[in-house]
Amino acid sequence: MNFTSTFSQRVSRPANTSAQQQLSSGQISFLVIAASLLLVGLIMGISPLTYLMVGVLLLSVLYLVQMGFNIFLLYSASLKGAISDYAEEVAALDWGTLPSYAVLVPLYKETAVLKQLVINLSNLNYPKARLTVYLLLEGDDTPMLEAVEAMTLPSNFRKIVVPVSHPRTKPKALNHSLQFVEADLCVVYDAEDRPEPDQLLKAAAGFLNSPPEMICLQGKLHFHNPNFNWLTRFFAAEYAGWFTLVVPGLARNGLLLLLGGTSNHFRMQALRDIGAWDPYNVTEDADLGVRIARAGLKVKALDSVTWEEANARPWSWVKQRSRWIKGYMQTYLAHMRNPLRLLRELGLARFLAFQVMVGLGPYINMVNPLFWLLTVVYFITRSGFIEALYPGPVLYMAVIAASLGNLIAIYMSLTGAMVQGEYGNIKHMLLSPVYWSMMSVAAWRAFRQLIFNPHHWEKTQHGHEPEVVPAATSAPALAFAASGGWRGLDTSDVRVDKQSVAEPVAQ
Amino acid sequence: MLQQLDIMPSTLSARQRPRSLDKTPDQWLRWILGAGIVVSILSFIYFFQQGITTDFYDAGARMLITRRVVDSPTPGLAQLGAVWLPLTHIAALPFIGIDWMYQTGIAGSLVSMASFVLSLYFVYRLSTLLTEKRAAGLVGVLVFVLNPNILYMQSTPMTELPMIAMAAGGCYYLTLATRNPDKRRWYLWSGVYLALGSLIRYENWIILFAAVPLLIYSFARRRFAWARLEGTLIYWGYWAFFGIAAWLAWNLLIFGDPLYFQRGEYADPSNWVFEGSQVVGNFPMALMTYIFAILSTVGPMLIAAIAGIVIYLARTRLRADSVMPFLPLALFPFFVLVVFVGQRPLDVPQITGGVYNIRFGLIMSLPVAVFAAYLASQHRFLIGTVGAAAVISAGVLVGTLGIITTEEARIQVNPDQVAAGEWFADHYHGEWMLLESFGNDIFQHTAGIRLSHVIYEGTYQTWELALAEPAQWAEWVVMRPAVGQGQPADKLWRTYHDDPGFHQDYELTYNNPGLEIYRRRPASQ
Repeated sequence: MNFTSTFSQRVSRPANTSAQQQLSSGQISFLVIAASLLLVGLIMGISPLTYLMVGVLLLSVLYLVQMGFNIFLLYSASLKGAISDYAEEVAALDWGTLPSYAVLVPLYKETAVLKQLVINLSNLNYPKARLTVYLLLEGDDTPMLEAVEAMTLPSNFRKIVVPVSHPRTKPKALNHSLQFVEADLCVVYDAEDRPEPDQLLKAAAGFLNSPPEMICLQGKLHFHNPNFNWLTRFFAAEYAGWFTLVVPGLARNGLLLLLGGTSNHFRMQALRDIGAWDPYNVTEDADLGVRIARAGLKVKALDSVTWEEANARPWSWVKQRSRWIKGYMQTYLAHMRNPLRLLRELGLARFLAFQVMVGLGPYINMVNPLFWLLTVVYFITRSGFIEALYPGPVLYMAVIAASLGNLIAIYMSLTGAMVQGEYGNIKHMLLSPVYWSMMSVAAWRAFRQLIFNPHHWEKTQHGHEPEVVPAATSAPALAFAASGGWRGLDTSDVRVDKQSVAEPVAQ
Repeated sequence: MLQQLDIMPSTLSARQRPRSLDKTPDQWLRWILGAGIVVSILSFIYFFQQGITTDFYDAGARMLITRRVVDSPTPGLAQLGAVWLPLTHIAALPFIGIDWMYQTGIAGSLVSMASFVLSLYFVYRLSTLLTEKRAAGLVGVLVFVLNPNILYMQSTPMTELPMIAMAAGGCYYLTLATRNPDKRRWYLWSGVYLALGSLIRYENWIILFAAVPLLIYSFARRRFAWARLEGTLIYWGYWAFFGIAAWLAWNLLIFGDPLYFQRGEYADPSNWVFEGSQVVGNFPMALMTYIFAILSTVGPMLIAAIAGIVIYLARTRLRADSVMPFLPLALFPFFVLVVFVGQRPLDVPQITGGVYNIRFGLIMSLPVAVFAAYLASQHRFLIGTVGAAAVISAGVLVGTLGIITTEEARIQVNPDQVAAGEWFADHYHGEWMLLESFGNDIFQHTAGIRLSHVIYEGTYQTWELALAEPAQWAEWVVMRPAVGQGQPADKLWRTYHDDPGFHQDYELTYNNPGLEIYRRRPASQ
């Protein structure tokens, strides 16, 4: 069955925001006119130095804007109501009428973590009759298909095979699955995810106690391996800072909430209604967050953790980050095809948040090295040319942005490590600029890919370093593990934690 | 199903949830802050009408420095220089461009007045935190606000009240941090206040440094693992030490030496070694000198505070969560030490007969207020007693020593510079002038000269050029001869006074024992 045709009959996209097309004709015209005007200015005698001064001025203002936005988020995140675990609402849940839940897990070349995945998802504390786990398998991923085939999966697990077609992306697989999935709520997890067992209950309670326009809850993603090496220390702190400061800060103010790739829970009908995921966008989650906001719907932050594996290898990390940044660039271009309509649909505050996070973020990473270089060269040479780029007020703005802006950015990493309780890593966060330099490499790589290979999805390999041995902590998981449920797979490292096995839930 | 879900009401609405008493708005605090604002304004009006709000030498000098940021041949933040820490100057910047606010010093007084109200807030918060009694918090506020020296200093463009406010904020939030070590926000806010304080007065650096061992002690008593202790300390210190780091970086960037504020040509005069006082090298005398400075500025409430400290120590036994209120007391040994080694001059009427720098004692009004409140909290009877004692203490202070900080300010009035400034104001029409600003601040402030036409040591290359050929640059040249101890002749006097060439170009138009004013001869233009 051709999903695209089927699906497009069921939903209508409010605006053409697909990243299938990179630049609209209007955007191309805008770029051409802007370049022409710059060229005309040069011909008419405006000096290149003037251009550089204006460029430095604009960038200094943008740096300040980003700094102010970070301060705003830090402050907002410290206020009550920024994030909720719905503890009282969970306690009041009626187990007999819980909504049906679908767990969607796109899998591609993930045999290394498959058994962990089954245990982790079996540990979810939710009535089995109301919960179905869908493993989304690629049609040409033979090892994965064989591995799943070799397993005796728990009874509420299903597999969906995604036919081979382009683009080869995770959102395409997710969209494909929607034609087979019927449930009230759904959530997306990655292969290596280990969600907190009560996460579905919290999310269900959250949906039950929220107005219908709140269609998505974003869980917190933390890494289980922050101390694996220097890279994971930074990565884990950055993630923790994002989900502890940025996401709650955005959610509290009703601003644009860019979804993380996993642990986002949806009301399924609403998800279908807004067009589900864009298969051509390599950060389909961020794009979906924008489209939810454009539709006048809301996302909230859920205080429940999903543990993931931090990418521990520098080049693999760069590739993964390149995809994320490229996706932001795609998302920006896609939604800025009609800026006035975007402004009207988002409202001013969320429009500005979109400009800062999606528009500014990737490019700041690209220009950072330039300004670092300028600073170093100036202090070595005291160059008059560099001084000329920074007339009085611009200098003040640049100094404030460079000092306070960077300090705040480092502080967010410090807070990330503090939130995780990884106290030993806090001192390492003082060296965050080293990590940022890798982001800059990734940003330039993303920019190049945006031009030459925009829809290429760079797969992040998981399971490369020792995971915490998964423990079966729920009755279904225990039963699965005790049955020796998987054939042909090494199960020697599966730990059955009988002490902490939960009582069977009421169904 | 979904439709059913969507209309289901919240299981427990926000209104239904029980409200903790701690979260209810403190109506007392609103009244206290409101009354504090009124007291602040009335006090300012009272002292302003007497014309003494800018009597301190530093008051005029600070206004001058701030004004130069916007009004100078080379305006900009670099004019903040490296003599004094910059934050109070930066805070006064929004007002300094308004001539009457600059001239009257109100631009700086507003900063002090706002700091006074902020101090009240933290005195109340800290007192109620320690005692869990709002009435005791009110007593703490009374002790603080009924001090006439505090009321005078909050009316001046000086830095005592901003310093106290920042120390109080740092102390309050650190106390919260040691009580709830898992709450990240307390580390942030305590760090921010201490960092801001460290950009106001060097004494705040001492408070900041003293906070480190107190935090370590608190964490160690809680048996924090080393990694947690180290990590939490770094997390707190990241912002707390930002002020000092920024100041060192500023000195390095602008003046090429991170310790320029200490080693530079115009280093803070309060850091100068002061020899010849009878208390230097005599520890008991130094100790008594500082105690008398506290008594002279804070009054007999010091005794109530000491009693409060003893009871607090006995009750809390240096628990992990109880040590931080002692933080402002770190300045006590510090001042005794600096007086002992002669790092700073301090005169008190009871020992040396003077009052110079006696306002150093005023810094103790914060712990005195808090611990007097603690004493008051011990018994219902003591609430009224300590409150009444605060009123009596104020009366005793005024009745015996008067408002001694006004006396200290009065003796700093430089009559020569004021007279020269007033003469100059009548003869000046916006021409260019050359002078060394350092040490001649009061003349410039009094004269109301056009700072954008003044060449001085802060105008970089122009200063050197003008020194070489003054007649090419300046209509007026002002110089200061040596005036007693600690006031040597300025650079222009040393350069030109005995230079015949200079006198060919300039004629002396005004002089008094403290200042000489020269005007360019018509033929020299």
